[in-house]
Amino acid sequence: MRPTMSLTAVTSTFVPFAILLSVALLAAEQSDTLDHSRMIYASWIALGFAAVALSLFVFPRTRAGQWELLTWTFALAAYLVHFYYAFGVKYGFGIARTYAAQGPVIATNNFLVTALWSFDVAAGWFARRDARWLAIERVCARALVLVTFVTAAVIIFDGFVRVLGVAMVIAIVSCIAARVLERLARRGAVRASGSISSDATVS
Amino acid sequence: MTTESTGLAARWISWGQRTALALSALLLLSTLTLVVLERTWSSPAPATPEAAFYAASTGTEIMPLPVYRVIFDLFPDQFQPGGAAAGDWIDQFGLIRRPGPGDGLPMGFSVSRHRPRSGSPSPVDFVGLNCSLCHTALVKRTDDDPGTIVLGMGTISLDFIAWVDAFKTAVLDEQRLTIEAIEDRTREKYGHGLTLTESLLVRLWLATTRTTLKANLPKTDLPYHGAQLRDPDLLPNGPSRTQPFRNLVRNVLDLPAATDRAYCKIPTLYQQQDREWGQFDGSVRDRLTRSVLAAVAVGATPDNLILPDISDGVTRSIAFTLTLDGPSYAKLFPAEFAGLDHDAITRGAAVYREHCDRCHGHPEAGRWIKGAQQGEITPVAELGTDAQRVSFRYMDTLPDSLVAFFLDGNPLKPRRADLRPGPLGTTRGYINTPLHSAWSHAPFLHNGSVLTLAELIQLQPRRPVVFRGANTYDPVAAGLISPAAADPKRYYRFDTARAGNSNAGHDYPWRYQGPGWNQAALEDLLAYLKTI
Repeated sequence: MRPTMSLTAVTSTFVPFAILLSVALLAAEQSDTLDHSRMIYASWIALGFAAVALSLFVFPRTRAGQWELLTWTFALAAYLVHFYYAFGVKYGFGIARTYAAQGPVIATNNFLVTALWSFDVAAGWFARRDARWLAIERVCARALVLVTFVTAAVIIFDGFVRVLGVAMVIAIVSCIAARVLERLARRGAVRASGSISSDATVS
Repeated sequence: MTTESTGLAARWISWGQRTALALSALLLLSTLTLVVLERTWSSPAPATPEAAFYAASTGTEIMPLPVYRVIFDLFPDQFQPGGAAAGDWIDQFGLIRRPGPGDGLPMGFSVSRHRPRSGSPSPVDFVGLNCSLCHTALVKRTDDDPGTIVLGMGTISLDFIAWVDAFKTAVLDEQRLTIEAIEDRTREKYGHGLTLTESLLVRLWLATTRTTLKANLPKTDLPYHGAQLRDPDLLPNGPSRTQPFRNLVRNVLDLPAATDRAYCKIPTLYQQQDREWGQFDGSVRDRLTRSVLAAVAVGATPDNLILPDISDGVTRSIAFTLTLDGPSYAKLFPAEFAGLDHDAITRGAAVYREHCDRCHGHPEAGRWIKGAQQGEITPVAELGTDAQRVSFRYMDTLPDSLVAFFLDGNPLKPRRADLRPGPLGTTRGYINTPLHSAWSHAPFLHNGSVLTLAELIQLQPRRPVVFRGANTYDPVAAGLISPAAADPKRYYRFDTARAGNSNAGHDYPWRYQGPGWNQAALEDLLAYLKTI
């Protein structure tokens, strides 16, 4: 089942999430395009929290821990706000309209991300975590979200979202590099301790 | 002791965390409640096409209703440039009072729950502009005549660009247009101040509008003010005219359009089903695109125009004009109509068929019979009328930018083929249009430089200088009456020698007292034109 949640972890993730999302929704009041701005600002928050969650996912000791699950959940919550303004407000919950405007590849991907991510978070909170299929699903969900965010933020759009997208890539690549170095260091340590042990045996 | 201190600190941290959680949850909940409530603030579009024409929002909201109620009192120097004796702001800028009891808004001003530009829902009413502001006229025979309001007729009195400058001057005056001044004046006038919501919205509106106006100053320059508003050297449009492409160049190309002299009178909107291409040069085809571009020129945006109730309002307004009949001379001027010589009308019809029908068509059995060249562009070199409208800078590049201005996927995005110059050719002339209620098209020519039909057909010489404002109507010459010199109601000196104001050209059937000129035939033609 889900990891135990400490008050510190909940506070440290929910408070910034609530403040940032509120600011995003209210800041849009000053713009010329209220709904569009809310859609954009919400995506920034989703991207920010997803970047943290994906970075935590890289390390086995934080993967599936309370911090990873909380940031991943709040990232989804912000993404759902973004999705509501995109699919619900902009395209009037019209699937045909969405496909016509976004094209089949992007529209299908967006619906798939929404469904898979929602399922993944629900599974994270309520499903048993030792099932092998769930482990595969978790990797797939995160890979899809990562590719979607990077494609949208770094390749398709520009401006502030590109800065966020690049920061996300740098953060995750850094974490992967750190993990690789950590593993290499551990292997080296194990090898070193093994050779000491055999030397001792010979002697 | 140490354990006790640690426990106390832990309790404080825990209390702090719980408080932070509760406060942030409250913040988020309040924000989400606001977002949900906002959806209930917008008002639906008026039910009928006619009501939409004079009451719907077209995405051109300008100020909160609480500001509208007092701004004209706070700035008499701007909104009564002719002095208090010349009437209130409605009189002085040529607007039309709405008949019957109402909220005091003149024709063309309506209330909605949309904020300016974004079209975002508002808890406070906003005043905006709609189609009937420009496309409604008050036909009066004398200053004392209450007159007849004609929907669809181009205004003959509205001095809109001067009004906009007066409004900008007032908004940019940070010393006088303050929340305190608005609050005080409201209290004096209505016996109560602003509500908290009104106060917040007015503050937000003042801040954002000032920021926008200041940001646009490099394009628009400082607005004119006070007596300058009636100076033709500074504001060369004058009443009943506009510069539509200057605003589009500013709003779409983000350029100042400083050399633009493409002045246009406000056109009539009768029987739009008979018009394939709109604008005086036939540069815009799709009816929705015409209305959308007109709204964008006045401040609407591609985003607010697609909001459902605004979109509905625009669509219904267009529907209203498709079959809208022009006013009948016989009904507005029954005595003069009764005095028309029927033989002269018959002879005049023959003159019309020979000299006018090819380009303009004619009415027959309740419908308009298209002329052989109706809908075509007559080159300006052939027509001889003022060329500024079809030679302004950026004329060739504007259509591409207009299309690009609307993002892909926006249902209002113009089709490139519906704009000229473009795939369907260029326009260096003026389109031959049908003449429903010809007498009510005054002033004539695209730039409104000819006041009467008698002058248009060259029965009478065209005057080089006229005075514009609240001109009364002359049913004999079929057009507007101009005094010999400016008076408080006809304050604007219209000099046809100025760039963009030429009244030359369209020498049909004949140039005044030139070869072939036939006074009797022209009198007959004038009689006939009063009947169509």
